[in-house]
Amino acid sequence: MHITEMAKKNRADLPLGEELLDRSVALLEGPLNRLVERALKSRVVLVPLGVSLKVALKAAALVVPPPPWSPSSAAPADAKKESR
Amino acid sequence: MSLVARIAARAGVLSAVPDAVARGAGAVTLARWSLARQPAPVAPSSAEVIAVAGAAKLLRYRAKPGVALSKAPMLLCPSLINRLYVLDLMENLSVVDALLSAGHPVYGIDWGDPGAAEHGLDLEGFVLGRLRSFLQTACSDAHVERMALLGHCLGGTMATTLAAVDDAHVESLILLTAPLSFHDGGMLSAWTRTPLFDPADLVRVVGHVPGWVTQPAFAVLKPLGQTTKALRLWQSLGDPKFLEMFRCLETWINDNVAIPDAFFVDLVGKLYQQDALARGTLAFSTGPVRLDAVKVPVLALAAAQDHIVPPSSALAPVARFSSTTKRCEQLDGGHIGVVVGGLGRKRLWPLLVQWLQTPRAADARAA
Repeated sequence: MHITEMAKKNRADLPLGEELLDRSVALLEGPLNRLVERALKSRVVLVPLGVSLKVALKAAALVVPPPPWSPSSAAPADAKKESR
Repeated sequence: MSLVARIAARAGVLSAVPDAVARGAGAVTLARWSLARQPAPVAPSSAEVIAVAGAAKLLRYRAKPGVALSKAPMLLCPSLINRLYVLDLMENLSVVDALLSAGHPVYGIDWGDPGAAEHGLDLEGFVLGRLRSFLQTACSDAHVERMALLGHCLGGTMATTLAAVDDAHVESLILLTAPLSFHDGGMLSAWTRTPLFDPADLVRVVGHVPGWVTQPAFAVLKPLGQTTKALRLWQSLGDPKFLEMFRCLETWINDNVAIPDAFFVDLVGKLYQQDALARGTLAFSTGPVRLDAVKVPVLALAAAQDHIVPPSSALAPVARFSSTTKRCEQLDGGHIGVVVGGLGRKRLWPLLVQWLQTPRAADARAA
């Protein structure tokens, strides 16, 4: 991530405590992050997420008034004209 | 250095107090900025608006004192969902400044906050409407027939579709971490293809998709990112230059732009879910949008540690372009770091200037 690149220092110059912190952060950013990422991409997460999103959005559509520029309201003529 | 001094230095005995003082000063500086609500010194390059369409503006950056803008011009097309000033982040950390200093006239598109005028404006509307018209205006303003078009992130996707459909004003295409293939194994790709997720459902409820929806979604793409960011900030709290850069970058990251409704439906539905651009099934009212229809010279740049646009998404599809001049580079860094990090300054900026200044033989379009 950008912060990593900005903060990166040469480990050989760091005191032991700082070096340990640096290594721990690298571990969090690398393998641990990939592990959590893999879990979040699995169907165990995605299927319930998809179902709850679908239900929540359908329910919200019934309760929340449609925004002034939702697809259900007609697009202004100039927007359509501009697009071609 | 004696052995005792070396051990003391390694144990941090010598640096503990100065480090604590420096971090304390850094924390005070951060607190002062927050309390004073001082705006971060972002977007330092001065520009004037030369065209407006709905919420979008075309900017012309002003020349730096003593530098004649006599070389090849460039139009910057940022992602529709982020602000343009990532390319002009702060003093001494600005792609715009680097190009202006090298004598290149620079134009940029500020897509603005979508409102009523953007309702119903889909991917085609933005590409064949606004992007094409701004490119034409910039060319007339610069008195050239064509100019280099740099697309950053989704701006690169849009620039590619324009070059595929109408390259009359495109001298060359520069794709900076631009997704071209959307089924890439990344988190964003997986989440947008969540079963049963229909982007039209979301748009029906919220209209233009606001930052409070997209910002947490982007934060989740790097699940431990917020934790590691806090730790990295702690590590460099004593470095005033880092703090200034951190402040500017955080300002940009949190300066969200809503995603226009119809564009969001196309982005998620056609690009992410169907991968229509890479599969060749994307179509505008003018006809199909095919990658092999891109004939202009292309410089494609990817970031090796990009968690939003993996290099495979940014580089592999370029092989299908018909351009005779194609250059692909993978740079160190993440999605943003490649533009604004120290490596960006060392690698990206010289690469852009070199690309603009390289004379090219007739491209595939002329052939």
